[in-house]
Amino acid sequence: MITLDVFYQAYQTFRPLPDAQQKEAIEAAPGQPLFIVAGPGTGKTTCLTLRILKLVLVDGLAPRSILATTFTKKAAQELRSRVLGWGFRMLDALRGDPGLAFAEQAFLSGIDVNQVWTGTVDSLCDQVLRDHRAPGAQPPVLIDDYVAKTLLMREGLLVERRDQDPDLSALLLQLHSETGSTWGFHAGRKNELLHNIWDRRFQDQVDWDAFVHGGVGSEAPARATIGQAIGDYEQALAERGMVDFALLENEVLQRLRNGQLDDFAKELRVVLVDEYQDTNLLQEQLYFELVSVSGGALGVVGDDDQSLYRFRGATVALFRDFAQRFCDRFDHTPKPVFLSNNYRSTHAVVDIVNAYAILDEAFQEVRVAQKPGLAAGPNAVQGSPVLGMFRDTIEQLATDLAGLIHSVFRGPGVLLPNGAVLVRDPHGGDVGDCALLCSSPAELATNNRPRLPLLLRQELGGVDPPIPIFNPRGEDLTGIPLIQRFGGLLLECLDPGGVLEVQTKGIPPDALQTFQQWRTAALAFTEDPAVPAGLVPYAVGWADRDPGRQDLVWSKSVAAIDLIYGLTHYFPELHDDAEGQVYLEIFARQLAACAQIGKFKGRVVREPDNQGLNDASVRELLRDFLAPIASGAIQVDEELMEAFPRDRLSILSIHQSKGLEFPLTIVDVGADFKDLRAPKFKRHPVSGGPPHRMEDLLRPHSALGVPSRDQVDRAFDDLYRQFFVAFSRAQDVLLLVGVRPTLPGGRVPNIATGWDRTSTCHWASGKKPFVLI
Amino acid sequence: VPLSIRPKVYSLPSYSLTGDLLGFLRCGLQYRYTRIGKLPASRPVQQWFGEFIHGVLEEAFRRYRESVKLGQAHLPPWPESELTDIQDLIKARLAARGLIPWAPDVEDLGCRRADAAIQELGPHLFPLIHRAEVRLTGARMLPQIQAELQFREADRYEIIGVIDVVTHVQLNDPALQGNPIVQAILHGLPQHPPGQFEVIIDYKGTRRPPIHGSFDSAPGLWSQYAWQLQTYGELRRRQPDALPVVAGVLVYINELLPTRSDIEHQKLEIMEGTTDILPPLGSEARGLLEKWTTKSKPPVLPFDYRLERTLQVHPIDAGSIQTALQEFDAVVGRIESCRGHEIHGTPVLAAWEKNWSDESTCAVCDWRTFCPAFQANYAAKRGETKPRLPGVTPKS
Repeated sequence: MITLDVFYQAYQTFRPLPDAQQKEAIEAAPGQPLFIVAGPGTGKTTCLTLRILKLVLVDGLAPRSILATTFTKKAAQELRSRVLGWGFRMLDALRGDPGLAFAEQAFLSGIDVNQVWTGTVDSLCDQVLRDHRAPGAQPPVLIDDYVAKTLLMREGLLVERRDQDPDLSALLLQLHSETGSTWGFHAGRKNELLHNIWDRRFQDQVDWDAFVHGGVGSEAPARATIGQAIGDYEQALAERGMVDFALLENEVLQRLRNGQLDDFAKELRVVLVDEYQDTNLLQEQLYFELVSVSGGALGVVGDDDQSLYRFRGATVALFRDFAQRFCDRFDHTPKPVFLSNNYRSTHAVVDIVNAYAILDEAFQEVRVAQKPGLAAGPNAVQGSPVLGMFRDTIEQLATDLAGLIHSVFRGPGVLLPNGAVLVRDPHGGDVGDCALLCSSPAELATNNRPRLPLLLRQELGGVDPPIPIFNPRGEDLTGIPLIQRFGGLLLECLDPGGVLEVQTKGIPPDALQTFQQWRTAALAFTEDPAVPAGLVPYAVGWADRDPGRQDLVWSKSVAAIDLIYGLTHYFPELHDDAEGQVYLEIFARQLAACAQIGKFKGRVVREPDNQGLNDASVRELLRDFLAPIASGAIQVDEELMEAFPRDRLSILSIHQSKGLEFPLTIVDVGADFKDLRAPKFKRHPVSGGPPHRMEDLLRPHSALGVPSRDQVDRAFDDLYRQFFVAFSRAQDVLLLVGVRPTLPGGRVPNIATGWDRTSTCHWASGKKPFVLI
Repeated sequence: VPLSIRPKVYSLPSYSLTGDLLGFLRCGLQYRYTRIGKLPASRPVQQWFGEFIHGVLEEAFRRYRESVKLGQAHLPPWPESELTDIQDLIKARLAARGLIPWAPDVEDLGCRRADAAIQELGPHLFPLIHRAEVRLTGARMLPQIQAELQFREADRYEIIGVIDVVTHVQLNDPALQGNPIVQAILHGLPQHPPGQFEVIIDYKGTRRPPIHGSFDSAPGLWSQYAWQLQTYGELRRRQPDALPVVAGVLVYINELLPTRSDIEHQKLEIMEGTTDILPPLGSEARGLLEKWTTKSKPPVLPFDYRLERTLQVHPIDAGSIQTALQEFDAVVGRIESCRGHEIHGTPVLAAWEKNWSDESTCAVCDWRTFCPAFQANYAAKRGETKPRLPGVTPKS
């Protein structure tokens, strides 16, 4: 082992030393449970990495005895990269240190930092169940959310037409809408709500029998139906050897409790959990069980102000109350450590983030007690004041914002009211140094009205030179001409003229509408003189099921992937262009999902004497392969995008932006809020949303108990956290944008522009914390 | 004051030995589509076959190990019912992932080869196994690529792999005396190993490749598989429960039960002198092969000869490891360069190497009708310049 001094000397060869707060966490004894509250930009991942490396190099813990989990694949990859990258750099520096004794060098030569367990909780659970299974037992086949929802729809909701059960519909409608509005309340939405209930059953560790047999009036039969639907789904999963994410974690918890994973758990000495503010009761129990079995120490890291995932089952109180909950279980108080030195942002940005966190008095009740405000780092500059761009209309806002972006990144820059010029770095600065963050990056509103992301795309497309947009989550894929033509050809090849399409149950109306648009686009493409030679005969051959050679007959069963790849031949945009490849993957992925759960395994059947079977195989493809894409339920796989492109403006949801930072951060605080009819749940809630109603339905049957705050308060809390995250992404300049009615003190109350939940605007009357441009 | 430049995220690329490095060596463009682009092969025959054999052998070993734990060591040969039970379990596992054999004859052959592997290889192999499915990770310096192609903030890359089986061999163990696998390993080593040592075993769901290219096998396969074993050796030796790793053994499962086409290839290679394992003159195997004609049933060759063709021993030492690591580093450099080209705007077909290893790789490639290399080399001969409509000869 080496001393702490030597450890820091080696680290200092490539990175500045950690600060006193970070050292408090890094240097804690291996057996010390930790409760690390880390504000944005305070070096949380650095701290976690150094804690791991210190445990290995200074305390001599076997790398294999340390397990570190985090929330997303991206964060897990970053943590692993640092553990490996910094670990090897430190080992290189130490091996070259002539001052180290032979015993120390011998110790170092035996260290393999690769052995540290890192990953998302799901990836680790998957690996543990795979490695520690009994003979004859199947390793879990983990299915993604879409496959899970499709299976639930088919095996749970549509069985016995439960989707039309009046009692069940009434209960689900209560969750869907406060007012009882049935807008958007179709089978797909019911299925989504049912899936949420399934997830939360495990996440909140619900006493399922008590829930299913509870309820009064019409809720009692509705709950019984939920029990049946979910029971059927569970059985369908079991028959196929599949597990979804909730079931996977629950299985690991049960096996830990039964002592079936002792071989794995007993090796552990330290368990570190990042992003703990987004944990749920199931995961908390899992971590508690791991340290209970192993006798190791649990350290959690997070920030209650950045908890964004209630809608995925997160319970932020588990983080806020961690010290007490841990103490209750283990009779041992974890050491609290506050990281508050911000190394990301200017003083101006830190100031507004701090002010925003304490703006709403009632919000303070749900924050971690005694949490200090952020402090700008020692090298932080005052920086540009926070800026605000508010215009009369969303169109004008898009025009002016595009002008600003163009001027900053392609022109001479923008003169600010304080006399400074906002401009890109002349040595390699590009529009990738900027991002627009929105509650939702969707380019179209539900009524098909263009939103700021689309207007900005259009405006930036018109500047010289044009600035492209990168908005993988917001763009309407179904409207991209390439996808329309390709999707339309698939439809015409599988089901010429749409004869079967109209007879197929379970295709949502919006998907049918898109099918029609796709078919029209495809037919127009085939009539275009520029249509690739050979495409039309190929497509017609498929439509007619005619191999085009007299000595051959059509195969009795053809994989639909053959059709996809055959058509791809005629689309260079799909096989020779990186962006087209991402679109092609959507079709291939969705077909694989359809094949995984379908009766026909993604194949087109052609039995000369069994037209019913032939049609059924096509209907399955229409419903489970193409309809989900056409209805917009399938999105691009962002893992296929190497990085945020430097030459494009990134538009992200605030959730996507978590963990990221941008020199110029533009936050849409109210481009949609032109009058009081603008959705209240996005700006100043008067009721809770589906996640809050779901909590109230299920938590009476969970050890978590009934939520202590009402739904409206929880909705406010969630909104404050969202904009806290958005504002704290800015490194150099924060620009807030919206329409004029949502300016502080304007007629549209909006928590993102300084309103608290009592309808007082703290930024009104000349107290705006930003400068208008 | 100008805006700062957004810092790149420090993220090390991760490369798997088989999926990435061997995949790229098979063909860079195909690797781009299938691995990076996540586009599945339309006929994953080889994938099903490989995963089925691996799954069956792993499950069979788990059952053997459990019997040892219970104090009732139960080595194969096992009754047919037990073999069927294992095979059904693995088939269901693969089917749940959407992986099914493409045709009944593929499934039948897979089952018969799995039977042969358990019944004939299992009795000798299972007692040697220390661990199965051993995950390995390591990190290497990321090779430098041309400055104009660089696209990421990383100084190292992560290398990952899974060893099928790690065996522990204790030479003075009386139970291992006469074990043909141990004999083959000792025979393949240049010098006498220490008293206790470790050997890495990797199953290949293929036939033994010829020494150098003749018809359907890449000249580079020998080297590539050897590099894979050497790299496994390097990663494995760092793990805490490792003994000195002296060798890697490739197990060519198809040699245990060769098909008619395998025998044809074998005879041709013997005639051309392109195989390293020849049946000795006057041996039973030689006689059977010489007598066999294409129209008759494949002969049942003697077990010792089949085993010899099944096992290929690669000694592992510091020098050979170094060579292998350098080779793989170079492959990583090539992949990173291709990625760099694409990220900097070169179209996919131009950005990626068309370094196909043999015609058989191209013949089943889903991208052949627009791959410039296939079109230039094989399209005229095979007549595949555009996609074919599905069709079969009608049964009379």
